[in-house]
Amino acid sequence: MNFKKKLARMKPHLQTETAQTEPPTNHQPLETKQWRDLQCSVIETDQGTVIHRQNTYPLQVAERETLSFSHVFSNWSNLSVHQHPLKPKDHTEPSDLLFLDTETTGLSHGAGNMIFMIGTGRIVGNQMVIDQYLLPGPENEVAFYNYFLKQVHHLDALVTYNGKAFDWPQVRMRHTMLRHELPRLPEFGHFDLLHAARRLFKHQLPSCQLSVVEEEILQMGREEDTPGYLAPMYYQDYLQTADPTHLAGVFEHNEQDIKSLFTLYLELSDRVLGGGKTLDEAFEVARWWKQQGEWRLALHQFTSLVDKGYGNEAVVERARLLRKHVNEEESVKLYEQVYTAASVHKIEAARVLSMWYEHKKKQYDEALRVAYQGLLWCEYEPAKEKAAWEHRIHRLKGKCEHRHPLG
Amino acid sequence: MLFEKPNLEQLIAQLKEDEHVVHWHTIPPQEARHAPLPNLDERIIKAMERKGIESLYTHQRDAIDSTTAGSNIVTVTPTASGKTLCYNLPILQSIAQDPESRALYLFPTKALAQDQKSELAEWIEDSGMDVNSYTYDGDTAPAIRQKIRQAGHVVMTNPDMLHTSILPHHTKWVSLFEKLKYIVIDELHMYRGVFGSHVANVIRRLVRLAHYYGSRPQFICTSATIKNPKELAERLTEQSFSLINNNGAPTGKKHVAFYNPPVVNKALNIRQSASKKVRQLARRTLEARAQLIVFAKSRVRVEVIYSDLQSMMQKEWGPASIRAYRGGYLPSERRAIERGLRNGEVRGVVSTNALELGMDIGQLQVCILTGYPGSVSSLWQQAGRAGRRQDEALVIVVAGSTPIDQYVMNHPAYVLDSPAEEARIEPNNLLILMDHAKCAAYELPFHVDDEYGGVPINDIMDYLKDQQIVHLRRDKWYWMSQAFPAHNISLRSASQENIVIIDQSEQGKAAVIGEMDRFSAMTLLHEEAIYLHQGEQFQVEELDWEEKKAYVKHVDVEYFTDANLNVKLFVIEEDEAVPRAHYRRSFGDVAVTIMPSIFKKMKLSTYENIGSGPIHLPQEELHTSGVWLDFDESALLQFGKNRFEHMLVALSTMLHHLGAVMTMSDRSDLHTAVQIKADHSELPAIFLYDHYPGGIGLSEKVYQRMDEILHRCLLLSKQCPCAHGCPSCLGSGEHEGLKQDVNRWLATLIE
Repeated sequence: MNFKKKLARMKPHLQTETAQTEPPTNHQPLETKQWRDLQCSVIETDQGTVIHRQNTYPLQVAERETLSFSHVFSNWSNLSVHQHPLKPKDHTEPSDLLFLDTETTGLSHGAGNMIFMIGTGRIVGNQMVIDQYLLPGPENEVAFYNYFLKQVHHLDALVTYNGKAFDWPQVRMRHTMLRHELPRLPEFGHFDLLHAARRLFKHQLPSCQLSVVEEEILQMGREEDTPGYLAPMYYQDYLQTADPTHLAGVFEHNEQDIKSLFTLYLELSDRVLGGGKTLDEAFEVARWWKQQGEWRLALHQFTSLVDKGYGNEAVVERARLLRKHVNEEESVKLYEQVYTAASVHKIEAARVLSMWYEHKKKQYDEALRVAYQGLLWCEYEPAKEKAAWEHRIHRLKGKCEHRHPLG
Repeated sequence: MLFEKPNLEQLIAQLKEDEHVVHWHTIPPQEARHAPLPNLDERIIKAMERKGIESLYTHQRDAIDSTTAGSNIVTVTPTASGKTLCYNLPILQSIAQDPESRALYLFPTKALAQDQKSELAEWIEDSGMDVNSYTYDGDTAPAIRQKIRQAGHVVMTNPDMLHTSILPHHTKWVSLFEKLKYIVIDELHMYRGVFGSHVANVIRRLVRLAHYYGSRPQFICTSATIKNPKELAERLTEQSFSLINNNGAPTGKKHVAFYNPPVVNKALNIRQSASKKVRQLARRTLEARAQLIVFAKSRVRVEVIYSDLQSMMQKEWGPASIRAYRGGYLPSERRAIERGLRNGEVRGVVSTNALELGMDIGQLQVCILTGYPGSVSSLWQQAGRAGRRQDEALVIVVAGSTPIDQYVMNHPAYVLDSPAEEARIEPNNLLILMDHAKCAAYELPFHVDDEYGGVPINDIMDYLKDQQIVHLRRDKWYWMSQAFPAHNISLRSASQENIVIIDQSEQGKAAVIGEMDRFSAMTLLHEEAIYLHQGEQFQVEELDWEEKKAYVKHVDVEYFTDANLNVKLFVIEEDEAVPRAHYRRSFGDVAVTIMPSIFKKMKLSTYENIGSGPIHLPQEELHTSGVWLDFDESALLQFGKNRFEHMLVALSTMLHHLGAVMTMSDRSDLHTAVQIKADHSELPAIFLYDHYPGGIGLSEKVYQRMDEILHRCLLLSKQCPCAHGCPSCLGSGEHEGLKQDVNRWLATLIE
């Protein structure tokens, strides 16, 4: 039987993907005028067509009075830290940063997902230059990436929002598909602002989506924004109708995202460098330093949080750092404090104190007393934890008896 | 001593004299046939020396020679004949020559991949070669996935993982695809029916990507005994194959006893139940201190036999000495049983066909089959569980009262002499093809001149274009949808999702105890159904059809449940037809509406109907292919409407049984229906149709071999010793003279 007839008959059994809008019409050649109306240029290359839109804005749009790129860069280099995920590499200038955001035909990570727009932002003098590259149709992918890679020379200071997990792997995936027709991808380095935003704001924001961070942290609202999740649909509409006006909102959205990245990079750097705007933020900043191995900075900040009465969380953090890097006796004082307070860390405190009395002070009775307390607190802990305490108590009992032999 | 229990040898002697053993067949032992080692890398030779391998079996040598010569091969040899060497050796050799060379091993299940991984690991260690071999499945830790993709010489996976994970993300697997030299398909015979048809499409996609990356992989397949291994391999991969079947492995002496339980009611031809007889035979075996496996066809049977044997044996051997094994169990439960079998703590296992797969559970001496398993291949697969090594082994086939069981008892030659059945697949089943065409389009754009499965790609893509899934630009079809197609397509069953079975006997401690496909759930997990798990009874309290969950509670009752299905059927289009003297045989498309109607409660001990209830489930609609026979009015006029209706049902029962045997399918894959006045012809008609949307080639085969099947039906009915028809032939014996009428009628149909 005819395949198409059979297909029509089996239609009820065939899975359909989510239904979409109007049926397709024949495509027309690229309408240069319509593109021009969107401030785009149509670039013809040997391999195909690329759409390029460039807009320039004064850098002040992104900067704020005291918060300029030169200011932030010099603050970073003045601070004697080895590394931090927001710290620019030595000898880099603000103009080396490349802010980047992509729009894709879907959110899956597989080979059927395409990037249809790459937006970048650079600093040129006191200007913010936004370049947006659009794929005018899937057949132009080689031209699209060749043109993009020619335009951007280095990718070693990318600034993205979730680019580590999404945008960049997508670029790499598409590059692999076309690797015989494209130059090698240059080395890349990354500032992923989503990670930074999550660290600082996850406790104060309902989500760390860029739009939420913009509104709550940067106090920048958007008017008439096209939500990002609709971008794939608008792109489909454009492909079906060949009418670029469907993409106007997507261009705007992408450009706004990039502009926000400029401001957000400054804001995040400023908060990290300035020790956070609130005590909670200060605490997160300190923990971040600690994780980067910058224990002195972290200790300094935890100490000031303790002084400001931040609570046992900071006390414990401070105690840990002291114990590891400075002086155990100092830390024991803090652990005593935690031990007597109603803190979730009191089991840890009991462990440290019990060890301290046992090994350093040789006060086995005291160590045993603390250990009993520790075991008591462990009621809801995993069996392994309890067993460790029982083992400790057993050992300490032995030591106590040895010291005070009966009779 | 007088009361000493007989050992296995004595048990065999006793059984030989047993009057109910209708046929005794002894397969003589076979001496090993060896061939010298081929030219291999010295490290591989060293590993063979360490393992004490001085020569190969003939089939292993042939496999290696053919592979080296560049042929795709399929080896067909019995279990425990060293088939893994047939692929491990050429692949190690190719890696020895080119360290960049890659191989992909496909196993039907995760567990098999794990087993083979340890085997290959030993070879790698003994040879001292620098070869990375990994399993890649849902359990693989994310941390090592990257390493596997880039540096795995041998990647062992299953078709599902290939389908949802590897192929759609092929850009992460460039180093595998670019140098893919071999694709190993182990247990080829498992890829039949719907599953096989899906896998054939997965392989189309795999090969398409391999070509895209510039590699032309060669196939090495291994299969259990089926009639058409070469054809199956060729259909599955769309390439030509050489068959390697000169088995050189030694086998021990094996006895096959055909046991037909005694007739207890002569008039109705009712025999003693097979399960009961199996329990007795199993007991005698266990007393003879022989390790045993019992196969039963359904889950229910397994659980019933299991609980009976267990209560019989637990005093002497402890409760864990007998175990049940079937598909619905969770992996941890299955592993424990396998371990027990290997170390001997488990004396006997009662299993469904789930154990058919080639897991090496060690040396069992006796295998008892409760009923003929439905195909010659399955029979030999199951029988292969006994005496896998070189000592004497015993296989007992205990007949049930179904037509096919009785047919086999009366014609043991059918099983012993006839070649095994064919494995059928239909890769171009429209639904399956469309599903995978979508996945393929997602993976790589199609060119307008391409074909997929022999169908011009534009015919397929035009349909997807209308759904706005693909987009045509400059002669290429691009995927242009947010969807990830592979996620919605399951290779394993007709239905998309399995029903999860949740035990909520203890409040607050609900636990998942198993799962079941949707079509089976219609008849086994409806509300109030009694579901058996490890011999325990559970009653289904709620079946949440939308959420795909069945909530069950532990009960202790004296009955089991059995559901009825209501079926309506229409002919959509006749593709082919052959007119005969008194009937017309047609093949084409049919539409079927299925709805479970009622369930019956059957008493456990007597199978007596003790109650019933309705089943409330939505109806399922099915468009599929079928074969139908329209009978002219001569027989209707001759026998009268009432009698003829019974005759139609009787013939359809036999056609169903023998049709399923002929096509090597499960009886649940092929369904039957009867209409005294069919809508399409206004004539009496019998239908047989594939129980899968679009059809999977079963009824087509039945259509082609209808003359033979009708002939076999007549033989079955004539040779059955019953008077008026019985469950062993016509399905019932309630009507006096029915059998004679059916025989007369059948004689007119066979010219």
